[in-house]
Amino acid sequence: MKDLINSFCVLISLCFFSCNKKDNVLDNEIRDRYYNLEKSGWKSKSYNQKVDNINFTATEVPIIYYLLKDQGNKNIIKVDSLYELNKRERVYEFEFTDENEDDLLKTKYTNLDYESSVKYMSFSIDKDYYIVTSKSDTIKCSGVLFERSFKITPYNRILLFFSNIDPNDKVQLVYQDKLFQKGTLKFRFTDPILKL
Amino acid sequence: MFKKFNSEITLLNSVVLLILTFYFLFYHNDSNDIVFVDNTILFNEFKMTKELSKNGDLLVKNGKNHLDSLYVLLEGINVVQQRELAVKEIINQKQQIEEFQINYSKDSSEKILKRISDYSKLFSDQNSYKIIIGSQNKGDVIYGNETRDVTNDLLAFINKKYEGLN
Repeated sequence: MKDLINSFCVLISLCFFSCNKKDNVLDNEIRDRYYNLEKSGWKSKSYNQKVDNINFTATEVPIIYYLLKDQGNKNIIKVDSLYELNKRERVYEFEFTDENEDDLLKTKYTNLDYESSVKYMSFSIDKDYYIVTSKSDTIKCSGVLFERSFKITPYNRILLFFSNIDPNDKVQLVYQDKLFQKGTLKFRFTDPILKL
Repeated sequence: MFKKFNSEITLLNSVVLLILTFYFLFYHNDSNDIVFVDNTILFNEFKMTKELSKNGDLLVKNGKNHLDSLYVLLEGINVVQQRELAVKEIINQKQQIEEFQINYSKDSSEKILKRISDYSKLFSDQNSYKIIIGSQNKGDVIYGNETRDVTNDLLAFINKKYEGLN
């Protein structure tokens, strides 16, 4: 009986160490992938369209960047599982820059007073964006965040949020510019962020 | 003395001639500087033109549908005062459609031409063209070698740029 208990204990310990090793391998594997992403600067290639004096620049930011910022990198397996839950979300940085670094929210550019321009950037501009997937599905922008810099930066930046997009899909971001009235601007993301 | 002066002039001429030869051979190579395109094809086949035109047609169609419904309403009205109001509304609606058509067309054309101009600048920078002549049905170009006609290349370029492909 004693022998049986001993063998059982040995078996349990073996199982424990085996699982622990497996966890370590997984942890290292995930860290390795995130390290590669970090090395690439966390972002996809930027796509630019210049119309008149304004540069419109779109860049995809991986979800994992925000998860790591929020959760830290101590429990990487938890971060990875959160990524798996949210991997169909997409975040894009969109910047408006005047070629002479002037503030583009001025009335002469938007035909609105400054406060209305800020309000438009903060609350209404998401309606001007949508994504076209490779299967020609159209996905509306689900939210926007205007990063106010109070005229310190030479650009105005917004973050755009989209949901339910295949993480490996090469999509096209479409902006129908109603603020500066420059027409439709398209950005095709052909360069995928490192696969996670 | 004159003999010496003459030889100096000859030498100077030779140097100038040599410099000019080098200049024309190596720097003044304008074989690809000037090209031409057909404006009409460029404008009509540009994807932005097609999209805006389709969009405008749709908006006009909606306006006309509303107008048709007003006509139907008018037929059912027997009271003179109400009829006058309905006629006024029909006239207003007609005017709105006409104004919209004019403004939309003007506004869209400006945007399209501006976009073509912006993309053409990039195209000329990439291909080292100094001048791109835009002609309508080749009317403004009395003669142009076909090798200098870059309409299709520029059209492909501007459509690619418009679709957001860098």
